[in-house]
Amino acid sequence: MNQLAKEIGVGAKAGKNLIMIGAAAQVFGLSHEVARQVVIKRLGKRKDLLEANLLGLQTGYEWTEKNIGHALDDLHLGVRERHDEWLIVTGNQALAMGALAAGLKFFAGYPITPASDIMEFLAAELPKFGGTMVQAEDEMAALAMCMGASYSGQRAMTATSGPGMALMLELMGHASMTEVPVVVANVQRAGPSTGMPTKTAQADLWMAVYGGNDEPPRIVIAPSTVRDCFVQTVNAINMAERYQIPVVILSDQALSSRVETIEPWDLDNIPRLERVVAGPHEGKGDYLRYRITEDGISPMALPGTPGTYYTAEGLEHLESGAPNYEPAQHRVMMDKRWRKLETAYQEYRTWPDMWDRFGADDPDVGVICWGATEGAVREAVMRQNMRGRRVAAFVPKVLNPLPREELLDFAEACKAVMVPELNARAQLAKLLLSELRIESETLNKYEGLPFTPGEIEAKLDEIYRALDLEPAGEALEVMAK
Amino acid sequence: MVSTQVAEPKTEKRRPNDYKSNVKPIWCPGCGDYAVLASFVRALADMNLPPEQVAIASGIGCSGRFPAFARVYGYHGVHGRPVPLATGIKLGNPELTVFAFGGDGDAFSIGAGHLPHAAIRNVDITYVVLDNEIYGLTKGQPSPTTPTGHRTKASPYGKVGRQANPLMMMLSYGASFVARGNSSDPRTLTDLIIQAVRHPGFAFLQVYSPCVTFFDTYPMVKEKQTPIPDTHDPKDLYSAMRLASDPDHLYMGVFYQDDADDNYLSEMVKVSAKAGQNGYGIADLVGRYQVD
Repeated sequence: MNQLAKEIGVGAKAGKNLIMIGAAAQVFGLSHEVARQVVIKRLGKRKDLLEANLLGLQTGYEWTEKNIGHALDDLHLGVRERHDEWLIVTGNQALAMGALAAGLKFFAGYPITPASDIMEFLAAELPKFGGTMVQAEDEMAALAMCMGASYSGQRAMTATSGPGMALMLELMGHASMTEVPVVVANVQRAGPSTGMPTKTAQADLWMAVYGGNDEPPRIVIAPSTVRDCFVQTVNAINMAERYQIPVVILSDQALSSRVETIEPWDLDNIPRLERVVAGPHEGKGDYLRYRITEDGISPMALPGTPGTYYTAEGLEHLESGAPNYEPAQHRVMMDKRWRKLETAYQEYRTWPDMWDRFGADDPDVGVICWGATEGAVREAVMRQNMRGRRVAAFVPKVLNPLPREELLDFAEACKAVMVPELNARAQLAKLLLSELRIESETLNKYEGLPFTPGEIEAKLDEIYRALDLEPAGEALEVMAK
Repeated sequence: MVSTQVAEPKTEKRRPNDYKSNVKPIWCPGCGDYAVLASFVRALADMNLPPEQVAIASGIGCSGRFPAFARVYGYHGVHGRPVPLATGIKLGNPELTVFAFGGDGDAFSIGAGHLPHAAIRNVDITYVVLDNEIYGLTKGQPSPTTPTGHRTKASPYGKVGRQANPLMMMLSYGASFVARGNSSDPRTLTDLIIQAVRHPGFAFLQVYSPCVTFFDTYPMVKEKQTPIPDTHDPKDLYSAMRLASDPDHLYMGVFYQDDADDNYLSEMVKVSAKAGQNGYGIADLVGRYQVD
């Protein structure tokens, strides 16, 4: 490139980088004319820069065509039908939009890579929706403010990354105990401690499911695509409200900043679940904030309502909220709070978009994965299907409580199950093993980078060899979900 | 928007007992917190606030039990976080009169990081710190306000380190209302709570509330307590600092008050006006990200 730049007389100030853009566009089969128009649109007013940039672009195209030509046909993206109503967004933007679509009214956050742009987005947009955004002094304050606003009746969310969520765990336990709805979006990044803030990982699953003292119930939900960031954030806020429980969204760095062109959401049919709110309390006896119910959900009074005074209590308590340490009472209240997770599972399994299943109908090998790993798995499964291998994938969106019947049905139909994850200790695989007795072959990558489809396929090859399963030879009809 | 207005009495005048719950306090006999609770419910009755419009967030410690004993809305939080909790409650429902309650350990040790931000954010809440200069609930360890050299089980050779000065902290953080009272003078305390509630921003009220079991500061408070001089102007920050740093007197009263109308909620009204929100909805927002 340096040599080409010298030959055509363009430099770092203008044109040099366009050589590489031209080359990349040619490799991917993008129209030279469209690229030219983009450059003209961006630099039309800077005549001094325009000529050099267009020259660089053209040089990149021509050099690549001449020297590489059609060797890279596999990479040609082709021309898709144009959809003007489609969207160009990142995962963090989709997540923030989902929160607004779900009626978010309060957000407090603390800057942390790679979650900060959720806060920045909401700083601009939330006031237009009648909501409030506060940049807090630390993550504990951020979550505590969200819990306070939720206690007052507002839909509230914070966003952070692993180190921030670690700081929030005590308060998350408190939200479980006091049964205050709140959403914590964790945009995961790589490494323990400060780690690699700009690199991706899926290594906070255990913290999300098990983190904190004792056993506070919470819901954990993981979007798998940029588009899904919106869908699952709507679900997360709805579930927090419906079950009066903290809900963790596990996104990741790769999803957060990736720009995708996606089909728009159906904004006229955003699902909405309401908090069960207690009306004014009349008659004798105290209002029972933590009333024992069959589904575990107790009507929640909001400040401003006459008669339903109560204290949201982090100490173990009676139905009224008054502190109580009787042995049987602790068991009754633990069971009540955990019962909400069973209620959540029985309800969400009837909703759309709570898992993805794709690939062969009658799989030999099943892939179970979560989060953004779905992308590489989808491509790998498609290629395997084209080679005649009966491979399928199941992607649960809710990781706590797991869709247990659906996962067991899927796993039992397979001769082998494989779980690829961007972590070292096989977090989902061990969750499946301990919760559902599903054994799996694990594929773990912990380099800060996402999987490539080839890595997934290489592991599948290995499994096929070990099982001595010959591919059928004929390409399977690829079954999308 | 501002919680300081006294609500129209819809029914007859409320009495202090109307604000007491049927949960009996479990504080030690002689604990200063009883008197603070009495002054608190007296202040609510004097303002005739509807109980459903009052919310208390508290931390962990003896004083953290406060909300359970009051017949208002309560949130017994985790250690050190009553101020951000109260901030969220207030921003979630600006109509409410919101209090934060905690002790000296909760406020000046584990929760100290929140104090400068509560001051500069200036959300209209009232923070009452019940200062007994000791960790009482955990049975007697030294806190930031424990005097240097004081012996406890955790400081058997005497407390190492200086004694924190909460009023100097809050004054230098820029808190818009800083006052001090004590449990032995309930009349003044009631008045200070009312002034703090009526202040249209973040109000900080340090209350000496001795622990008879682990560190009896009643004699010290009795010896040093002095009404704040009539000549003191609460708008004079330097005079406030001189009084707050006087080693021989514990002045009681309002040290500093800045009534500037820059509390968080009034600033947020301006933000909303700048952002604009007429008829704006999710479809407008999403539409901005369309391909074309």
